[in-house]
Amino acid sequence: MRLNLILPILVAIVGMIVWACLALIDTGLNSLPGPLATADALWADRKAIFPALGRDAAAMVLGFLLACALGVLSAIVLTTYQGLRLALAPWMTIARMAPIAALAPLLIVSPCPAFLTLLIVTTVACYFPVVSVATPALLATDKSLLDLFKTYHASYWQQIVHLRLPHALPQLMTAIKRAAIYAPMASLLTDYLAGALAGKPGLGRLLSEYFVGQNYPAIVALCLSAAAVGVLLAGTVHAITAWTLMHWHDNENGQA
Amino acid sequence: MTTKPQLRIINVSKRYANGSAVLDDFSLDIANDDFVAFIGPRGCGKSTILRLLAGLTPLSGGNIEHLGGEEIHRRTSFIFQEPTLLPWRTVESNIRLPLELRGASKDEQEDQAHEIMKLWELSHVSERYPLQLSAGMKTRASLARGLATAPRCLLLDEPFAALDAITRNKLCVELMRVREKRHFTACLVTHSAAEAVFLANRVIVLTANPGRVAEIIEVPETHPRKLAWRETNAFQEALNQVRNALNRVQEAAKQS
Ligand SMILES: Nc1ncnc2c1ncn2[C@@H]1O[C@H](COP(=O)(O)OP(=O)(O)OP(=O)(O)O)[C@@H](O)[C@H]1O
Ligand SMILES: [Mg+2]
Repeated sequence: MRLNLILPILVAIVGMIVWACLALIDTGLNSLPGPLATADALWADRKAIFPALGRDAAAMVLGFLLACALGVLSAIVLTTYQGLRLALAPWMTIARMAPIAALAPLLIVSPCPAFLTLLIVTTVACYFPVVSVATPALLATDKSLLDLFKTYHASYWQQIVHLRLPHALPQLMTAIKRAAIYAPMASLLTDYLAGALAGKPGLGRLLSEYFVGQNYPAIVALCLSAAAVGVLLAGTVHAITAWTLMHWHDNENGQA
Repeated sequence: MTTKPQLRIINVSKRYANGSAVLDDFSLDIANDDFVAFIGPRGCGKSTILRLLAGLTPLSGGNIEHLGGEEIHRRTSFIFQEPTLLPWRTVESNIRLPLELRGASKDEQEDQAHEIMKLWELSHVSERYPLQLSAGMKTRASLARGLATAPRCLLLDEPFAALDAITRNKLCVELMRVREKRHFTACLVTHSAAEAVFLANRVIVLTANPGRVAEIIEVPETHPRKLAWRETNAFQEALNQVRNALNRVQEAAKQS
């Protein structure tokens, strides 16, 4: 119980020391800044870094939530209409496999406001993994449970709400966890690109400024805090899913 | 016991999409408060009869009259071989489900659920999830849920098949005890001749390919029956009758 708290903290401390040592000795890594220099840089430039980071985080969270909601809704529609499902199935598969962030430049060069661009790319990137998992999951409901609902004369919506959705919950949660990993990738990458390509304000433009000014501690500070925001989202989603499934899903039961 | 028939199965036939007739020219009257048991070779259409009675699958021919009309049809409960509890709901919440689906008020749901849980001695596990229950408890919960809506007719498709002999006997006695408090007509499908004789007023022995009524064995002993009754000559006699009838059916199947 204690060990699982103390050991990770120890690892963190050791990691910090290794990092500091690497920064001290000449590693050939072009003057890697140490932890203190990085913290200093973050503090010094907080007025620039945090607002930009906050905007990305907002786009990331909003895009993620939007994608989950839209993804589940479309999965319900696709479950209901078989024709639509057959027509869209191959396109859904292709869209799921395409790295959506690769298409980000298309949006970046459009006259969309920066925030909207981030939001759209994030939503689209998270949407396809959710639909492509949620649809088969909604269709895979136990035959005997469907029969049970039939004997109750349950309406279609009752069947969706009380049976198909909760039955699909474990797979839905896996899809949502995956989306929570895509969300920061999409929003941060798009922002980096937007700064580099179009000079739009945000993390990307900050990065180029730091490069030009050879402000390496600030670059490390910015990248690490951006990574932290992504980890925070994925971690929160992970915790929520584990808690939701705690009571009834075998795999999660052991962890809870 | 009144003798007014509650269910009339008239010249019913059933064939599934893929071919041969499962049931052919099947007729049976089931009286109000009757307890009938269907027994016969594997695949002779026992489950199909119950599914037809429950309206889970359409008739291919003939007619089923629910005397009392649509109302009585809605007041039929199906107990499946697997307990079919929803794993994301607690025992109490599972028992409330059919009431919830038909729009009963919260108070009514609670009253009914508590009463039926008391009857089935489930009150102490009301907050547990199905994952945390023994097989016997799950079957109990499934039976309790089936009775929550106060059905006029209970259709049981091998509900005890997966249980050990001790639990099975115990639940048979419980079912009889509950039936004294909540009167309902029961149609039981089973592979155990002893179970059929112990529970039913009439044991219907079926032929295979197509399924028809081969013989009907009356078991005149009054309800509720005690476990000790199984040691009597009367029980043995009825049991032998059923076994002999089953043997005859099997012989006939071999010859054809
Ligand atoms: N949905 C279905 N589609 C096609 N054939 C079916 C279907 N359900 C059952 N059958 C066939 O109908 C026949 C009777 O099935 P049924 O399940 O009613 O038999 P049963 O007497 O309950 O068998 P068991 O003793 O194994 O439970 C079987 O041959 C089975 O293969
Ligand atoms: Mg069967």
